Amino acid sequence: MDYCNGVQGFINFTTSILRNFTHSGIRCPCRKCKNLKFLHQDIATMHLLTKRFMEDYLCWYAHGELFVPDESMKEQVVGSTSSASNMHEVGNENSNPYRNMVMDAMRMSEGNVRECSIVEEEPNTDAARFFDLLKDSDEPLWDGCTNHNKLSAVAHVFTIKLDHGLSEAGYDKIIEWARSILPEGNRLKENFYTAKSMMKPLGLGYQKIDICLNFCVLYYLENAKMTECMTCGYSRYKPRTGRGKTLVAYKKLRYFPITPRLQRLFMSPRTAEHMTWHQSHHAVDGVMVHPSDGEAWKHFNSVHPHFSVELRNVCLGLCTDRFNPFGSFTAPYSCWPVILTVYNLPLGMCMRLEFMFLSMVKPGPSSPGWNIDVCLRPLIDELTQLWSSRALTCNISRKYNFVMRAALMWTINDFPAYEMVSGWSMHGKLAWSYCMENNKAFTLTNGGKASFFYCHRYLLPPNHRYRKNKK
Amino acid sequence: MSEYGDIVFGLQSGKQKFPGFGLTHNWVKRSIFWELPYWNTNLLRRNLDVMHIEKNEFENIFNTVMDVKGKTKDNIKARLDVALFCNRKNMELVRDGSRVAKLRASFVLEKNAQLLVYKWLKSLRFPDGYASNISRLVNTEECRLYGMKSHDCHVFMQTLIPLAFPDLLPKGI
Repeated sequence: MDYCNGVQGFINFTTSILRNFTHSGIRCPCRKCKNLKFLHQDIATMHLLTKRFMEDYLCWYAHGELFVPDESMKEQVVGSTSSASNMHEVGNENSNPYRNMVMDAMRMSEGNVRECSIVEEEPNTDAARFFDLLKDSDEPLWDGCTNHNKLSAVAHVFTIKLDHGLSEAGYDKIIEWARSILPEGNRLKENFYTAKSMMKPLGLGYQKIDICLNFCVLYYLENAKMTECMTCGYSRYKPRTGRGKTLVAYKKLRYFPITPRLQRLFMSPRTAEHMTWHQSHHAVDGVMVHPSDGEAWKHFNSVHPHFSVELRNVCLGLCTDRFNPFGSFTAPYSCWPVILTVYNLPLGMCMRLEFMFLSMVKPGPSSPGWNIDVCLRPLIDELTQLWSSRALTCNISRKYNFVMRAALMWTINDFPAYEMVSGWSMHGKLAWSYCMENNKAFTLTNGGKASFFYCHRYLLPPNHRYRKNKK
Repeated sequence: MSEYGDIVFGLQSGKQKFPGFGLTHNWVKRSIFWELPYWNTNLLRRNLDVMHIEKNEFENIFNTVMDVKGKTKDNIKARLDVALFCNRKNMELVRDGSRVAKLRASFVLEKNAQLLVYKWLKSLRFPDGYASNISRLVNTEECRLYGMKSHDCHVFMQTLIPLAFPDLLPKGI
C-alpha cells in the first residue's frame, strides 16, 4: 500500500513539472523501460506497480528533481569532458559521452515526429535503430577493450575521414588494415557502407522530392501520386528499362528540413548559449555591427512584439545563387543551392560554414528561371509552420523546453537571382525597383541597352553641390 | 500584385506577361515569399550580394582603365552614344576622310603606364591568407588578369586601386 502511495506521489511530482512532457507522455522509470521510453502517465503507473522502479533510481534526476552527485559520481564528472558533464545533469545516468550523444539525438527525433509533419517515418522502426545504436555504444570494440566501444571507433575514423578529405576507398583500406592488427573477434565495422548505415540515425536526413522536368509542378503533398505533369503532360518517371521494378524520376529536388537543424543548435551547449546574442549584445548608437542593430530589424521587432519577446526565436536569412558543380569550362549546368543563415549567432559565428544550413538543392542542367517558386514550396511551407504552429525545442544551456519560432528576415541574391526570387524583372527600363515606373531611363541608340544616365541626381538633396557640378 | 492573377509555372508554358509589363511595372510573377504571413511587414525584403556586384564593378573599372581589348566599356558604340546624349567634344570619334579614330580618353592609361602597373602587380606579395597570390594571375604578355576570385577583386578594389592609379591618372578622375 505504501508503495502504491509512493508511485502516486512520483506521478504527481512528475506531472507537476512541465518539461517532463513530450508528445507521448513521461519517461517511464520502471525496470524494463529504464527511463528510455516515453509513456502515458497511466501506463507508466501500471508499469511501476507491476514491474517496480529500476535499480538505484533514488534521485529522480530524469524527472526534474535536482541532481546531487555523490562522491563516486563527482570523480566521473571531473574526468569526463565539459560537454559530457553538462549533458550529465540533464538526465543521463551514464557518463559515456557516446551514449549521451545517442540519447540526445533520440530525444530530439522523438520531438520531431510530432512537430514536423514532413518527417513521416514509423517511430517504431526509428526507435529500434536508436536502441541498436545504444547497444553499440555499450559494446567494447573487442572483449576486454576499455577505452573504445563499437560506436566511438567508427565515430573517430569518420572524423579523420572528414578532416582530411579521405576517399571512400581510402577509408576501406585503412579499416582493412586496422582490422588486421586488432585482436580476433573485434567488432569494427568492415567498410564505409556498413559504418555509414550504422551512423545514419544520428544524422539529419533529407527528402527527395520529384519535380517536373520543366519545373511546372512539384510532386509533393496533394500532387504526390501524380505520374505525369498536369501542365506540360511530361512523364514524371523515366521509361523502365530491363526488369527493374523501381521507377526512376527524371528530376529530384533534395530538401533538407530546417526545423531539426535549428533544434540541434539548441541541443548543443556550445551553440545554445549564443542563440540569444542578437538581442543581448551591447549595441553602440550609430554603429552597426550586426543586422540586428539596423532599422529593418528594429521595425520587425516593433511590429511583431510577440515574436521578439522570446529572445531565442530564430531569425533567418536566405540566399541562393547559380552554381556549376562541374567547373565553368564544361557544358553549362546550373544547380541552385538555397542556403539559410542564422542571424541569432554572434558575428564570428553567424557567417561560418557550420552555421549556414543548406536548405535545398535544385537540380540542373537548366535554370528554373521564374519557376524557382515551385522548388521553394516545401521551404515556404515549413517556414509558415515555424511562424505559426511552432516547434518544441529543448534548450540545453538553460535546461528546459521552449517553443521555438522562426522568421525569414530577407533574401540575399545577385541581380539575375533577384529577378527570379522577387518577381521584379531586372531587365529593361524599369529594372530599378526603387523608383519603379517613375524613372527617366532611356534606351541607348547604339548600345541598345537601357541607360540610367542623368537619373541619379534627382535623388540628391535640393541644394547638394553635385547638382551644380557641370563636369 | 494579386490583381494580375497567377501565372502558370513551367518552362514549356511560354512567356506569360501581365498587362502593362515594361510600361508601368516589371512584375513577372507574384513571389512565393508573399505567402509568409509576416512578409509584408518586413522593411528590407531583398538584399543584394555586394561581393558579386563589387567583382563586376572592379572588372569594368580595371578593364576600362587598362584598355583591355574586348572588355573595355569605352568602346565605339559608347563613343557614338556619347556624341548623341552628352556634351563632351573630346570623347567623340574623330573622322578623317574615310577613317575613324578613337582618341585615348583621359581615364585610360598609356601603354607604358599599363606595363608599369602589370610589372608592379607581378612583384606583389601579400600576407598569408589575405588574398590569393595575385602575381600569379598576371599575364604580362597579354596584359590581362586571369582567374580573379571575388575576394581578390574586393582586396584590389579596397587597397590596390587607391595605390596604383592616383599617380598615373590625371587629377580629377
